Amino acid sequence: MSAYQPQLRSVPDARKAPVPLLPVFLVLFVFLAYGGIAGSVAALYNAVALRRLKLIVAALGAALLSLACSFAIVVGAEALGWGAYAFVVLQLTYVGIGALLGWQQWAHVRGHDFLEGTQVPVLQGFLALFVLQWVLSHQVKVALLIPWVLLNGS
Amino acid sequence: MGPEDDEGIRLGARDPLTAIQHLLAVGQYDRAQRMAGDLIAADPENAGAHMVLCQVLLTMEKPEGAEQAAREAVRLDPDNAHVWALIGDVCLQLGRFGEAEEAILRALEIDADDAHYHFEYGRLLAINGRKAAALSAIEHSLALDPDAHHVHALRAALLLQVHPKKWSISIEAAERSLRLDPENSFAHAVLGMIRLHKGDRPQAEERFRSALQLNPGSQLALQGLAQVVMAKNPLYRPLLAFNLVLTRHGPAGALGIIFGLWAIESALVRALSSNPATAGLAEPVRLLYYAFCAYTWFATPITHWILRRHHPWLADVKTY
Repeated sequence: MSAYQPQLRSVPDARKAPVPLLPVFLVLFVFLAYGGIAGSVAALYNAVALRRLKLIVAALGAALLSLACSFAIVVGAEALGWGAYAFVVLQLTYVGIGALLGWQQWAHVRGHDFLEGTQVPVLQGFLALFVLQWVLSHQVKVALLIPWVLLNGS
Repeated sequence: MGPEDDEGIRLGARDPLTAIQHLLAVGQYDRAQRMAGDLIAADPENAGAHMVLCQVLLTMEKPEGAEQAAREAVRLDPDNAHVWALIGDVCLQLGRFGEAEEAILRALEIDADDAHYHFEYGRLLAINGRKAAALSAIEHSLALDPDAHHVHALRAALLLQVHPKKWSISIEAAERSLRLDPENSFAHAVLGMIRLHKGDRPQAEERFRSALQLNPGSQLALQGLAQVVMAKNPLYRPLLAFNLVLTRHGPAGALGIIFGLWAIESALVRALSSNPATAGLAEPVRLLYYAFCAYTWFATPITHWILRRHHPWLADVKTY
């Protein structure tokens, strides 16, 4: 009888994506800087590249959840008169959703690495995101961070 | 007796299986594969021949073929712990971590007193980030074979990650590995990493250079040496100190520090902005934070780029 308890039953088999993956940390940064919808798109890219249905469903779910949260937080904060805090709460919520997705993708990205798959260099990724911050108009950034505003037409 | 057997005898082997091992040791993989194939053709029920073919194919990084050979070996000799350990190796190379664990645990069920299987299990867990559990398996292995220098070296590397502030025990493990085999490049590199984390850069550099003399391709030593060389630059030195603080707190702690800094900055800027007397300070605080972020992202590549002129080998080392 072995002295060990199995530890790796839930670890997914490694799969190498044919294209460079986005590092999990970068996906999390997209959630923080550009909101839940953009973050979910970044996570969806990894999920599709890895051909993992569970990850695809989770990324789409995260997009819907982000949309729902943006509605709930903006409407709730307005009703309670806490409008000044809505943005911070919303960003923290996005980071929370991003952290959950990142946690789910972590083992898959590590498996891709193990099989010598490549990742988008973190520096270039951050640079691209920074350039985007300058290029995108304020309205677009607000619409990304608070998609409810866009849907609501206000 | 064929020419391959002659080669085995010339190499001092008493039987063809040992001869194949010799061929593997001297890097004659194609000949080893042919010889193993000949053995199987002569006796398809020879489990040992399938096992050795599996080893050859694993060494040649052909895990698909190796798996076929290992499955055949396990069909012929299902109670052989070594066969299960081989299946574990094959599954690991294929990235099937759960199956690899199952196979190694099966080997340990058959023979719990083989230090190598405990080591292999520890290595598998370490690859999957189960550092504490890996350390426990490695310590089991050392209890059975206290003189395995490569196991002491891996223990030192794991101790550095599991107990990042307890330098003395990881240094002791790495030094023990080196006492057992002064030419263990990995142990030199690990000791260098421990010294680097401890802030003792000259000794770290010495160790990385020793590791590279023994194995010029050691990625761990190259990356460590790159850190030491870059830390001589005042632009990079504070970043190395910050990165070492993050490492000491583990991945969750590091993430906590990064997001904690962001939360503090957000709260501070809001608090300052809400008071007309301090509103003017909000923008400098925000700029300071952005400058810090930019520094953490760009200091490494800039230093790397500057130093590459004087240290061309840095071009082959990925440090960011």
